[in-house]
Amino acid sequence: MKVKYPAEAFALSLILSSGTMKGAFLSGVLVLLAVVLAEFLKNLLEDGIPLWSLRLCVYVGTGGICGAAFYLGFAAVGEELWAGLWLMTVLIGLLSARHVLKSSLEADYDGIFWESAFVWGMGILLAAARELLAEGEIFGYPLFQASFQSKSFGDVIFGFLAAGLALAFANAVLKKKCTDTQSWYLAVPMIVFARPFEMVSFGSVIGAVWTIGVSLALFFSIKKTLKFSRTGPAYRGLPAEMLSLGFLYMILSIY
Amino acid sequence: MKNQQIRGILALLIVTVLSFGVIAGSRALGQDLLAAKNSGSQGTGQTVTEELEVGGAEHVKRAAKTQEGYLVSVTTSGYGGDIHMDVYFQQDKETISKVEVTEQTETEGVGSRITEAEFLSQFEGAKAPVFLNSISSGMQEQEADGQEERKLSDGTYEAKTEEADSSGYTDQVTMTVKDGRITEVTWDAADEEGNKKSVLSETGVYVMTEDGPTWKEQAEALADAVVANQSLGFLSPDNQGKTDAVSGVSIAVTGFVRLAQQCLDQAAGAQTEAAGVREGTQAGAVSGATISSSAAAAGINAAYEFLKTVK
Repeated sequence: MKVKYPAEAFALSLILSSGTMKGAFLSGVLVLLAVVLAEFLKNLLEDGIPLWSLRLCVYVGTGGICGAAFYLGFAAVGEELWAGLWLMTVLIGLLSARHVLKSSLEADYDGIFWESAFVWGMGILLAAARELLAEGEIFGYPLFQASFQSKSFGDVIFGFLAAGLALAFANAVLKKKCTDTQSWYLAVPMIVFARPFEMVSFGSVIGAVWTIGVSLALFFSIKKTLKFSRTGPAYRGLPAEMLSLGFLYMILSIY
Repeated sequence: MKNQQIRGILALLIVTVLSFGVIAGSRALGQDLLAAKNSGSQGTGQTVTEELEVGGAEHVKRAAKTQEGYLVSVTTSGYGGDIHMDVYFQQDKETISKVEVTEQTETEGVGSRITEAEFLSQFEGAKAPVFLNSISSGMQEQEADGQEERKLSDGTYEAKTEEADSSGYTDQVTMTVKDGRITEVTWDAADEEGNKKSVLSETGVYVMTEDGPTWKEQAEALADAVVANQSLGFLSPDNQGKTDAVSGVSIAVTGFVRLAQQCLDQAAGAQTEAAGVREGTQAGAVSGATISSSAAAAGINAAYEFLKTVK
């Protein structure tokens, strides 16, 4: 059964902000806002305007308002989003809009909220674990310091892993599958904005092109191979691809 | 059909304009929120204008340029755990505007007194680095090492603490100088009733350990070492006030070093004016909280050292 929650939008929000419990809490609320807004806009306009305009209106409206809401939300907790990160939050809105336009949700807000709540909850739990392992804190409050704690748990590598696991756990509970999702929409911007490794030998431009190209080629290869893998239904599709991307980042970051 | 296309274009225009309006409004409001948050959290009314990269700077957790100068947040290890502080500097990166202890778990009523205005206010307007009176520092070592170059007047000099320590003892150091050389040093302490610690330790009333040397034996070993070295610089007490320089001495020696230094200053005719020519500022430690006080001073100095690297 297809998911009703916006899997790609949730995955991207978890990659970006599951380093802290506060971030995961806030971004989950904003993804919910984005998907509800997109569904509301679609239902409001679909009878009166042609399909091309409807799509553009939903994309522009959801993307813009999602970006604005993220900026305000993070400013309220004292964090300023830099330009690249802000564009990613606009992308979260666009992915929410895509989910609404592709799925036939038919204003089933109950279903959207119910399923989204599971992903949100799983994301918050994993974010709390990451924050504890990275900083020894939960929701910004210091708990304890131990030798096994490492700042690396706050890196984007564990963001991918947290996103994949949160989606998989939610799918397992809801007995849903992440079919019809497109991980390229997350992977490409993430690889461009947060490259897994740097190459300085041939200058910044060639280095950037090389690192992005290699990362995308490897991810493409993994995606092809994953088609033949025997993953559980809850992991199939986006969750397994996010986990793979996390491991890919982990390996490439060694260089 | 044509009307529907026009409606589509109009709807898209309206949604686009509204979206961009919301984005512009959110950015303006967000900037205000961030500015208010920054000034509110600092409690000084200073607005952060630029965050600075702290990289791997030791003890430094955050640094920023403010409208009045710089803010450096540091963490150092105290007696009961980490001490978190915000240190504000003026534009010259040297003059301290204010020091705030934002978080600490020091002993209540002792180490925790580093949060009190009495301790912190002495840093306001002071030039970094700061040195605590009773704590060894690079500067103090340099000064002690330079003692050999200073001419000491012959005579017997005494220095004693004005107040009793947390155990009720008042320390006293006597130093004899003959032919410009230190020939004898004695260190003792007396309780409120005038009982000397050297006597009490010999008679078994003041016991530190069952097997180790008594307090008197350790005090004598320390005094002999000063006579042998003709200086205090070799002692280099650590943050707990102890030294590895003299075999068998495990007691805290910072009180002795301070008083012996006063004797040397008297002998050199310099008295305590020497503090005035030091680079940096001399400050007083919280009584009985040497570790907490030195951790606070170390934090301020770490912030200063970091700012020296900022261009």
